[in-house]
Amino acid sequence: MSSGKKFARSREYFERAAKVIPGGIYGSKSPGFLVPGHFPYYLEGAKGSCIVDVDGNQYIDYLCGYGSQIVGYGNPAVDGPALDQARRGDLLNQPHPVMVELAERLVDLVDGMDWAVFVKNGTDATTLATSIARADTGKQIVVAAEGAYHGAANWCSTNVFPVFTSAEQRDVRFFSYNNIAQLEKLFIDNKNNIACVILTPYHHPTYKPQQLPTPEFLKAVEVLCQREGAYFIMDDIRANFRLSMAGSHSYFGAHPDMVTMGKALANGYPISVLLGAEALKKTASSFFITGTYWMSAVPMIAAMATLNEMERLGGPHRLAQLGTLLKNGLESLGEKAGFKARVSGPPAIPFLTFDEDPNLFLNQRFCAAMADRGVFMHPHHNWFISLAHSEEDIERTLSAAREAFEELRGGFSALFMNKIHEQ
Amino acid sequence: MLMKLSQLTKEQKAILARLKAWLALQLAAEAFRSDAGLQKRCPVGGVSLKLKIMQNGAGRGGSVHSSSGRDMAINPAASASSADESAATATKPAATLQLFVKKGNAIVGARNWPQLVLVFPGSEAAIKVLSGGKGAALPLPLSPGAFKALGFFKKASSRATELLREAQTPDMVRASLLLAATLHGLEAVSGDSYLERRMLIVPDGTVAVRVGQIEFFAAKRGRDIRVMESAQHPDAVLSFSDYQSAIKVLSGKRQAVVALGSGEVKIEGLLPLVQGLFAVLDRLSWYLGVSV
Repeated sequence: MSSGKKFARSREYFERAAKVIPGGIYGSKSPGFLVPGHFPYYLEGAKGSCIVDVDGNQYIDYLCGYGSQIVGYGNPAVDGPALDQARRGDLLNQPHPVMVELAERLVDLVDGMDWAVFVKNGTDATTLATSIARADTGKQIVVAAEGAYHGAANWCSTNVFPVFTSAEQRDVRFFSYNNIAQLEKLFIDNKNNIACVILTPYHHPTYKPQQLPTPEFLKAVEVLCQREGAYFIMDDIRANFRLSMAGSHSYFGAHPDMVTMGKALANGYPISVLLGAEALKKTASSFFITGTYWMSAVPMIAAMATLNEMERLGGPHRLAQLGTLLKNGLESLGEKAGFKARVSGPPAIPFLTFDEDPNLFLNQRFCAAMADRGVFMHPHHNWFISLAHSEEDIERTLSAAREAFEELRGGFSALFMNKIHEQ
Repeated sequence: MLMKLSQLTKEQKAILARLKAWLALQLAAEAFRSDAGLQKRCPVGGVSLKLKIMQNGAGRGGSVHSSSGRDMAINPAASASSADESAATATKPAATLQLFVKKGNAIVGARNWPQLVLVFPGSEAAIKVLSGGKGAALPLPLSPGAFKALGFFKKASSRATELLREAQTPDMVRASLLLAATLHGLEAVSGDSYLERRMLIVPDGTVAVRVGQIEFFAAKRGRDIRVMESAQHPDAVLSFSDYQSAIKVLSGKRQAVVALGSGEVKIEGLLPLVQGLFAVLDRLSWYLGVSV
């Protein structure tokens, strides 16, 4: 079937959208971020590990709502209590008691954390964390790793316009992830001016292979922060509970002062959280923290249910098991087809790249071929395993991958034998 | 927000003047390449004309009342030889354009000694004249045939406008003109300090832009973009499905994002590089929207 017919309704909606919505679909969901002609633009529903687009095409999904789905789409163990609360009232004048229960549970669960502030998006949490660090230390500079994503606020976004670079972005400094010498130099060059270092537990930049922290890196960050009077913030929005129920910092043996979590926290219901150590509680208390929807009850009920369901379904151990099956299978199939295909990152959050193609031509073609076969794998953004994925899903995925690699091999010589411009 | 010429900073005026000069010269060159009639009307021995815009200290490293000419090298050899000076002269808006006819073949390239230099006393004058308005421009003849060269340049410029407007212009020619104007427009505005930080986070690399038999390459290095005629391994490819799609998108009749969604435009390879060029494209639109 031609892509025009296969995605007729998606395209129709997109044409309408472009007239009334800037960019049609903005941000990371923009069609240009995928491979137009091979991926749908609009989805209508989902169940378990599968998504269905507006044209009725079905996919095994490895994007999981950009990581927000961890126990599966439409999981009744989560949706049941959440919808029940929705009927009884979601956004009330005062918080629902579940807010206390959820804070207590997260503080018990996440290593080294003593308090919790609930917000809606990752950006809310990371912006609040860096603000608290700045207020507490009286220092201005935030240090982050190059290519790391910490949200869409002006201080951390890729909206690089002069009006922001001379204001909110002026005091953010960057170093290469895992490069201790560069970080040390930043502390020397900005003596007594660094408020915090914000890092993801492992490096997951868009368009690039993922990078795990070296054994000495996170320890060095801690030592430098302690020595220089700066706070260490772990931005765990993306990985969340996929690596450990105690937080990804626990998985990597790190000890941050604040941790941000979101995405999978409530299996897609809108809630994020900033967790902090006791030493920062007073400063956090002095902040006026509010947002119209920040204390809505339904996402908190969903978060409690999600934590229960994660534990019941085997949690991070099960995710790692499924992810390893996928990783090993893809690498093996890639090698058999003659590619240097490499799956980077933790098995539960894998991403396939081709060593021979840093510009991602092969990624785009591979993921397009997978989408053609009913498997949704993003060509530029890391993937996610959920507890709704099954061994059968992985088998079907690998079966599709075998064909996709073969298809790719057909175009390989054309891509890399000085003939790229002749295609 | 649409700006008026009087609201622009000195740097912005210098960039807009350069943009206008480059577009005029590139479109004239592209018209010459595309139009056999124009080639026949080219004076024997070719045409060599230089636009020079006097500056008042605007731009990076500009000195007070300095003036400088930058060769607009269209042939690959000249491109390579002048690549190193591009950063230093990025905001010096002058250009030369030369056309040669030899044994029936047309060659467009740069030469050291033009037949005529058209001197503009400042950016504003250049912007006004090159936008079709009134303004000061001093023709400086340097060799016999100088005014024939100027006359031919005017003919080529107006022919380019006709080719863009006329319904009978082949799609390929129109697409080629629009693509040349767009890419050289990107080249002209890429040094804008407004884009400086943005350009630094965009990876360096080369984008191939293709439609039908037309192919251009835009190389991004640091904060500059340079249009090239060939490149071996582009890091990204932006292609239009056909000439009509290219014409619609490049003339603003179809939103690029919609064309991308419908498959009329396809992007492959290093996406952040292409996205970076889109940011420059937005800036180009901003400049072209300035009311003169």
